[in-house]
Amino acid sequence: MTDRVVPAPGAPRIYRVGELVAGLGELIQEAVGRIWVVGEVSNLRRAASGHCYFTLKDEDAQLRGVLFRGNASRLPFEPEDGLEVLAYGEVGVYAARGDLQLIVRQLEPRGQGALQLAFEQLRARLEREGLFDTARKRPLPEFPRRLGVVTSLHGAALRDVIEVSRARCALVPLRLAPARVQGAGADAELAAALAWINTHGDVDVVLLVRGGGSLEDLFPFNSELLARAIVASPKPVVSGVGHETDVTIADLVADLRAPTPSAAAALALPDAAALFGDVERCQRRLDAAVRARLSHAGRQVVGLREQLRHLSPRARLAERRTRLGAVGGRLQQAGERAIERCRGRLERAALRLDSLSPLAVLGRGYAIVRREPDGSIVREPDQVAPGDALSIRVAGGDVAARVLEPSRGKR
Amino acid sequence: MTPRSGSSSASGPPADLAPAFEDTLAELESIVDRLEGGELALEEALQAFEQGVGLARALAGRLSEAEQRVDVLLRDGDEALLRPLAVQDFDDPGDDA
Repeated sequence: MTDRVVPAPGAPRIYRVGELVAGLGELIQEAVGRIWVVGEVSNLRRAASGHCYFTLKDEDAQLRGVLFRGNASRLPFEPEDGLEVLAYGEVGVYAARGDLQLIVRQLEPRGQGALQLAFEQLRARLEREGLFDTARKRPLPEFPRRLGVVTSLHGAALRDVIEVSRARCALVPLRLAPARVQGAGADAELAAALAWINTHGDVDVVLLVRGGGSLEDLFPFNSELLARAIVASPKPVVSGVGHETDVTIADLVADLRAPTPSAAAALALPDAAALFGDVERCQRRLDAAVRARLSHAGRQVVGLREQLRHLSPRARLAERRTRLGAVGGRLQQAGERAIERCRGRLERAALRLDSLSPLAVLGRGYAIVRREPDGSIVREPDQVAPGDALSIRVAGGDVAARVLEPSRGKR
Repeated sequence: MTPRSGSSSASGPPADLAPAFEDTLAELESIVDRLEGGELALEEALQAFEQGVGLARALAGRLSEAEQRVDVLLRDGDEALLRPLAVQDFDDPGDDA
């Protein structure tokens, strides 16, 4: 049998295994070159080194594949079992095992874009982590002292936010933390701006906004980095990214998702018109309450006056006055009668007086003799001497006379 | 940590109007409640009314006169900078949407 091991010249060449496999590998590489292969990923294994090992298969066959660390880390999505992929790379032989393998340079999901897939994968993962749970989401303050806005300074989103804020409630000041909203590294800038305005912006709510754009444009808002920054934000975050139909990861983790930047501003701000209404309502209530209070006071006054009237001495006074009037009348009558009586007595007295008057005696022929000039009444003859002047009063008047001879009469 | 203000005075002090507004509104509402309770003496009621009318007028005035204040928070190393939003910020051809 040993003669067959060492072949004679002209006989077929005998390869060592390593030689053969290496030769086959080169042959395949030359013949096939870099190609695109469609298949389903299975048995995916990510080694500690960062390389990815998997099998590409379809109904008929399977092929080992490897995605080295450098290429693997550049993928936006995560390859996973069951995924239909389009792989680009070169076919070679893994000599140690003698296996055919595809060294993958580029991998794309089939049927959907890589970004779309990345989005869905991240979404599923964060959802499993519970980051979309409504229980985790914080309510917005009813009346923010200041509104933070994280967006580009030059975007339509900022203009919309300012416009809506001015119209809805100019009372609340805005503070912007600028960041690029598209392009490589935009997610990191957004995350940093969000963290910065939280620590240094003195704001109560943060709006994270961006105008509409393609899925690629919105990609920073689908980044895990930004999602984690939103979750870590001490202040509630309101997202308003793109148009109503765009839902980003940022939207899903935000405390409140607004369909657009304008809507985000409107949701975060109190409505000045409603506040105006509140104030007016207060004013009306004040008016009504004070009116009620005043009319109550008025009724109280009326009631008290009524009470006072009941307690008033006026009635008693009136009664006394009546009695007084009656007594007065009687008094007056009595008085008048007394006066009448007096007058009668006076008249009678006057008559009597009259009868006693010396003048009445004179009328009966008597005279009163007075000595002149002293006028003393002469009662005795020796009161006068011859020649004395006398004045004799008679009823009709006076008679001047002179004494001839006083003589004592015999009575 | 309060950010130090930029060179312009337009950024102004961080006078937070909003909480004052909210507090004043709450104060007004409590005055109205008290007045509606009808427990106040007439003199107190009239005083409360006067105070309430003053607050309501002030609040309405602030709502109608308020001007939106917008400033920009920047970062310089570990320091925060504030500057007012300039009109040219808008005129600048946008680098993005």
